[in-house]
Amino acid sequence: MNGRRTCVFYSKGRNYIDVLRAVRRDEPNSHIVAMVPMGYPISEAERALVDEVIELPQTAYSLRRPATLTRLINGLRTAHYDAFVITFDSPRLNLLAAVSGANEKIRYTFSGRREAIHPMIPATLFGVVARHVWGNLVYLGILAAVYGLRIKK
Amino acid sequence: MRLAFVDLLFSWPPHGGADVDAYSTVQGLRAAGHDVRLFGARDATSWERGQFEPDELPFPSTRLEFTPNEVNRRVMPERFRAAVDAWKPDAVMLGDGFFLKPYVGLALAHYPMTARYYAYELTCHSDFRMFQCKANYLQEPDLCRRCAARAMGPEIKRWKLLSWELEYVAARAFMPYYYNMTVRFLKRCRSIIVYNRIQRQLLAGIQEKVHIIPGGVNVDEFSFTPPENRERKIILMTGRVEDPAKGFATVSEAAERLARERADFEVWVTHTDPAINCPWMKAIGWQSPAEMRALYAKANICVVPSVWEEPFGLVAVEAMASGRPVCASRVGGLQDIVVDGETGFLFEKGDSIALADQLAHLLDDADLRVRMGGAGRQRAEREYDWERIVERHYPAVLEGLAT
Repeated sequence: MNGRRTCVFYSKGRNYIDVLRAVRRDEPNSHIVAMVPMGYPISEAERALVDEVIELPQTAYSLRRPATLTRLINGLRTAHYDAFVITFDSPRLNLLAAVSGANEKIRYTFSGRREAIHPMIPATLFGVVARHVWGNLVYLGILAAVYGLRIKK
Repeated sequence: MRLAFVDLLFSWPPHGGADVDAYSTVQGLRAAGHDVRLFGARDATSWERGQFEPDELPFPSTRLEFTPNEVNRRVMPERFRAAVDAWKPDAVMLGDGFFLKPYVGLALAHYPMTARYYAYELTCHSDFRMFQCKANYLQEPDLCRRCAARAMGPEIKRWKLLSWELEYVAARAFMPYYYNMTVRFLKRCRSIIVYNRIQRQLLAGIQEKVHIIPGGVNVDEFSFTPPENRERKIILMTGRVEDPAKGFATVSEAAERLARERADFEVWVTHTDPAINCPWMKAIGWQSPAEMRALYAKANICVVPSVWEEPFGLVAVEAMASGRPVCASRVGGLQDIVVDGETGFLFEKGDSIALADQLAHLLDDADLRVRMGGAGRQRAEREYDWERIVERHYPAVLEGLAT
């Protein structure tokens, strides 16, 4: 153990165990905490990948309410994790990571890429805009091809 | 025979049925005396591709490393060709892959070759599940190209690409020449291997030599014991249940209907969302293969309510291997696996009323459950044990490659 405490925040779906596996692989000596909502059916395979499981006193749905969300954020900031990991690139989770009080905020994309969540909002925004511009250009090209060019069998 | 098994997506532990199929086919062919080597691709930034350690596999393998930019129609075929040529096989079997598979296939076309298709990736670019659509890319390519472009639009515009969309763009699958190349590739193959009759029909007119080879299980790994005598019988639904195509909604409706009349059952689902929990429904989360086998042993009845043309339906075979009756929807490969009235029941997809009736019938009749479970086990041993599958189906494939 290197004393580093990494909290992996629950997300719905098959993705969660993949992220736990990836965090264990990427940080073999960290103390890994799985933070799951009340009633989450954590499997033996998931439990074996982490050092600690924290079951929140809230369900996944009640976490959407401002009051419970505030309590969660206060709890996270008090725990002061070295790293806070989220498992999807969603605005809500990114915001939660930003205010988690952890020194390092990390995101695993759905395809498994590990990304540092950029603390600079302008740089993040620039990245998003640049990706959208490029994506839209590529898509225009695709539309031109599928509507403009016919297949001759 | 010296065989190169080329798979663009292989991962172990498996990510799905295709990985299990590739692994078991290689193992089975080696057990039958053939010299087989697996060639896989790894993109270190994506866990959708090549998550395996060659040293940990029980057969020889080569893992080729790619960066995301190298997953394209030029680099990937070249690398595979160089690696396979260096090993000098007699023939090539092409396993799982998305849009780059025809490019890799044509790069290896100087070998006798067969290609395995696990779902509908060949005939539907929009969704390899061909969910709620009957159009066929091989027959109506222009229609399907437009549909696929529209379906993938949101991801491409945001430039957030998973392997499917990444390969679609990298392979230029939207271009007319991609269609002609795919057809050329299919015609160059000595044969194509699919899971079911529907997949074979979709290839009609392009490639007539199509082998239907089911997937399977190692039946001995599944215990065939009567379930514990519990007050509340367990109805089990396993697999990727969060996927709407798997039909969890049908089970949910059927269970609700049953719960109005009786309380002697509980539905266990490999769902990770505790919000589905209620007195008759329990989310049991993700389970490892070993945990799954223990679950089948506990269950009284298994359900596979898929609403897409499930190419095979491995979970139905696993349940049968455990000696449990299976209620499955009449779709794709499932209708070939479950013998209606003998190893379980079939119902029309989405018909929760029929499913509720079948479950009630099975809950009421313990002898029927035992009889159907026993028949299922026998069928699994006879038809779906990997050793039997390789013995029965692969000689014809290999003969085609040898001539």
